[in-house]
Amino acid sequence: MIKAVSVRNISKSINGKKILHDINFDIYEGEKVGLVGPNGAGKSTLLKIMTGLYNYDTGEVSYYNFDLKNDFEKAMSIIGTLIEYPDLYYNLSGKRNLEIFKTMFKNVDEETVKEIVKIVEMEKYLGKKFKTYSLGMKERLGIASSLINKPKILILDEPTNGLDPVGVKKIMDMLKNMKDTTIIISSHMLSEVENLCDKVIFINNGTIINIKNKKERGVKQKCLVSFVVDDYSKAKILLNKYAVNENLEVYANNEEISKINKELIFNNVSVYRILEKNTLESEFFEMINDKPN
Amino acid sequence: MINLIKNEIYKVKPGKIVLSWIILILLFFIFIKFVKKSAFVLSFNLIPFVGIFEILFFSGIISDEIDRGTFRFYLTKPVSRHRIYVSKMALIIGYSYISVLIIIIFTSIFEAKIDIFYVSKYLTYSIPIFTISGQILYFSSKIRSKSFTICFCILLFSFSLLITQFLLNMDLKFIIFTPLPYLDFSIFENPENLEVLNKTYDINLNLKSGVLLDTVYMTLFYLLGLKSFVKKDIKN
Repeated sequence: MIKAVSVRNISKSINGKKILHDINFDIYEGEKVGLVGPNGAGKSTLLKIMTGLYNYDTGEVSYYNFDLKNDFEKAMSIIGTLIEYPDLYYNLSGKRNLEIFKTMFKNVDEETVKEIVKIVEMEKYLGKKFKTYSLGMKERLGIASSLINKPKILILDEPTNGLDPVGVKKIMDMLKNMKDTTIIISSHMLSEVENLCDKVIFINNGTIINIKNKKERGVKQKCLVSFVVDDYSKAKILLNKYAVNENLEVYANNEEISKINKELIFNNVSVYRILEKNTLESEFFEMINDKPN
Repeated sequence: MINLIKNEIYKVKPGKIVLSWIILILLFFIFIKFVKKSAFVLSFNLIPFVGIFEILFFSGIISDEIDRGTFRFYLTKPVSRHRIYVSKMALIIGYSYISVLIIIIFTSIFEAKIDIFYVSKYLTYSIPIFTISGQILYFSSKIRSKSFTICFCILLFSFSLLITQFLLNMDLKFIIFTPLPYLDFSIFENPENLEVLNKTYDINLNLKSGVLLDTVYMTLFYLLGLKSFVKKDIKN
């Protein structure tokens, strides 16, 4: 496997406060990696460091062996970025905005731009000024600007922020279809990350607390499950020792779920369904030691 | 680099720049019509307008992009911050040079001759607007506030002599080693006033020092602006 991204010993302080401590990870070609953590965990800082927007105190970042500091132009020529809100030049048309970004790459031709515009379904709106676009259109043009060089690596920070469900689905489907592209995505919508990513990096208080592959997840892991039963009051009393909440939801591993199920059936409570809530969400709460309500 | 400069022109809007040149030409003709002096003399009065346009157009050249978040896109493309800074610098310097040239060309056409003495004197008297451009880039990059840059640069540019006199009254003579007294060379057009000023404060303001100090500080501002632009984090 070819190493696409290497982050080594990255530390960063802002105004004397340590924001990131000794961050290390590798990402291999074609992997889709989610960056997950609570607000203020350091996700955006890390992504800004990885895209050259922030300097860093120690460590190194490299893309296909191009060091971000020493080979900035070579490193950036193979990555595409969409960091936070898509703020392009609001007084210029979508077309002019893309032209500006096109000129910053050496080998981007008109055909590639047209192809990208088609992918994000913006052909009809390119002539209009950016400031007249809806949030979804802005986001799509932002994505077009990050795909303009057909990047090998795509770095996205909250790419679906503020989008309606249709917009979210369009963008997530598009990202899923980019099979050969290595994607690093940070999002608060854990279901998005779960559906898209092969690997998840959990980050909290500026430190990586865990890196998990999709295959590894969900076997011994606790998750949030909800029991749908015929006799709610009886089930609530029976399950009190398992710390269930008002919705008969419990944070448990496979063994515990099976035990609870047996206990309900043994006490003549019919279990209609056991619904598993978002696995990643459960893992996330477990990682940051904060159980969901 | 040409493409980067083109990008900068699109960002500040080419129409605005052309309009400022039309205003300069109109002002030139208004001066000619209403002030009874030669075109050569009157053209010197247009230099401050170039400075003011420069301040108004370019004070947000870096800070605006940070505030609006466009740098999150622009600076994550494969172009080093050094080159981006140089393209912005080239735009401001280019704008100032073209504005100065327009005035020289119109004056020469109006007077129906190319006077080398006038042209060299005019170019010398234009040096402060390049010092101002350095200030603009430095403040826009370091302070990152368009309104501060506009207010501060206009204040210094418009009242440089007044502020100089005020500081000299407070016995702060080091001020003559800063570009402040030399942000407006019009004082050298009036030797009597200059002599009075020099005698009153026991100083020696002269054109040679002005050119030297302006050039040194202009270079310093450009370099400090570059350092700040390259080193600082883009937080927005």
